Amino acid sequence: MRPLKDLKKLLFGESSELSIIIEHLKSDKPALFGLAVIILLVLMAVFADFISPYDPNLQDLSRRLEPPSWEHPFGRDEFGRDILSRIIYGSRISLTVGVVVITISLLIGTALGALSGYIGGWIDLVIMRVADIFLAFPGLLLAIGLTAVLGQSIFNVMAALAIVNWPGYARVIRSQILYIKGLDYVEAARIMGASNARILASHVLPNSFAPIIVLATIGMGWAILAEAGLSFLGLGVQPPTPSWGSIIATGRDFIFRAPHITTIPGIVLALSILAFNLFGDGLRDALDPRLRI
Amino acid sequence: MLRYIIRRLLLVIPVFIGVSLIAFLIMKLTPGDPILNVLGMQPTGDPSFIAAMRAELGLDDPIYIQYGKFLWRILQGDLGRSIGSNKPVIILVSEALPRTLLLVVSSMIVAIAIGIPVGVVSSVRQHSALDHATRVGSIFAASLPDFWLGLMLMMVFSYYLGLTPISGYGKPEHIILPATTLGIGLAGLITRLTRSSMLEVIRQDYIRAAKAKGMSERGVIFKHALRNALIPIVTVLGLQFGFLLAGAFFVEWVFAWPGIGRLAVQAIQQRDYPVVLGALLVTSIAYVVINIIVDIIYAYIDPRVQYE
Repeated sequence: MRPLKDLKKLLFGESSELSIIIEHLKSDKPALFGLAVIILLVLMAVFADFISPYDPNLQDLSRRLEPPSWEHPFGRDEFGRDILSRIIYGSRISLTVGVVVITISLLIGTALGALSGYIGGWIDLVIMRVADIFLAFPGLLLAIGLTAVLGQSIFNVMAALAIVNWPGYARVIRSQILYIKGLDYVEAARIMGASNARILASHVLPNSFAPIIVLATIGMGWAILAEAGLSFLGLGVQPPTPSWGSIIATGRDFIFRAPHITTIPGIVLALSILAFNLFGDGLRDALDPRLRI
Repeated sequence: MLRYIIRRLLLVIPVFIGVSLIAFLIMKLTPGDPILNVLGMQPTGDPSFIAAMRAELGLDDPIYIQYGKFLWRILQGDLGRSIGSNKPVIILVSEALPRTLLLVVSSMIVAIAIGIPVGVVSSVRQHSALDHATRVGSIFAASLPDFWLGLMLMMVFSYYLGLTPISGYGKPEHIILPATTLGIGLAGLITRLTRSSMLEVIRQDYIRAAKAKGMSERGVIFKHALRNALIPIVTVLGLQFGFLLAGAFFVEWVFAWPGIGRLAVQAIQQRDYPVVLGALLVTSIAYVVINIIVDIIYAYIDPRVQYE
């Protein structure tokens, strides 16, 4: 045990930022619950091939709409497919969309926000006006319009969601950078002869990531919800690929005869969004020094 | 103040151009031929008839001319005609928009009616079991997908309990489930905001002074604390308007509520793009206008907002 503790101390220091955050999160039960659900989701997506009891696309029309049983704990859908297996495979879609959308939005948002905040002038003006225009359009509506244009596929859903999502990140990064670049240590680095690129990469950006991590975590929940919503409207993932939104959409036609088809994937979807929101909230509290007193 | 309002209004112009450009490009780039869609996906119709129809709809012009014409037309309130029903889009949209606004405003009332009292009680009884339950409940409510919640409420209240109509429009009871569905997420947000805003306010000196002079707890909460705690809630209600408009697209689809969301989703499925364009454009303009109104109201409520 001791060497491990020493290593931790060596890496993070006695009261480093990271260790304080971890300590704070340990006492935050809702955030821990969120983290546990997120870990479960990731495991489910990664090991779907091993834990899924049936082939998610295996049809048995003679047993369609069957309610939950020991054999099929979540029942069967309108083609007699096992809903549990479809939900397990659906987690791959949800998480992939979440991770890809947030990564692309982060890359675009960070690059443009950093340029905007650090260089300023007309570059700032142009980037921020473009961001304003995107923010003036309700994001999900723009995504609905874009998927209608780009065609209905998972790649287009991800592209559409990333396009509507980056301005939020750009705004936050920009305001963080405006604040940080006025601080003394940045001035000191400049006096010591560091280039703009170096100051941006090694001083300004690393110190502006705290609010971004929170935004990205909560953004994962948003992206998962948005993908499910688009698939619900028939604009997202196309059959037979299992997506939580499309399972709910097809279940809608049988909601009074076979309510399990809609109910169960919805609970899984809501729990996943809740998990990201709870963990994001916990991170926000842990990262906010004012709340640590 | 007048200068602030004028400046705020002038900012709408670039946003309007941007929004119209995005809306226009989205639909221009849509794959599939709208004429063939109208004719039932059969590319075997009379070519001269198809050509005449293309020319009539302006589909042969260069794209910038089409955008210029489009911008000029919408400035005059002409959003074209629906390819499907041949009705003017402005009529379809202006019929649908008030219904969507009715739904959105009703959902705000639901959210306020639930969120503010629950938030106040939670803040007054901080750290109680009720407070913890409220905190978890409110974040849970904000995590529920609208379209799924709508189906669940429909199943329980319409099908099993028979209390409300399953879907539709026309009678007052038709709005209960859609407004509740759309309002529950916002109610969660308002609960959390009211709670945190109240917690901040009740620590202020003037609250202590009011208590010290012998005012009842109820009086302190309602006359002093809540009134000041409401300022951030007004702002958030305005900011949430866009999310509610987007949410209305899903809720209207679930409950067959004939608003602008249902109009747009149907039009997307039929590739009736003048309607899609009109619906998206009008929704965005409604959103921008509401945001300006909120900004101006906010400037009145909170003297700390700078006009310049």
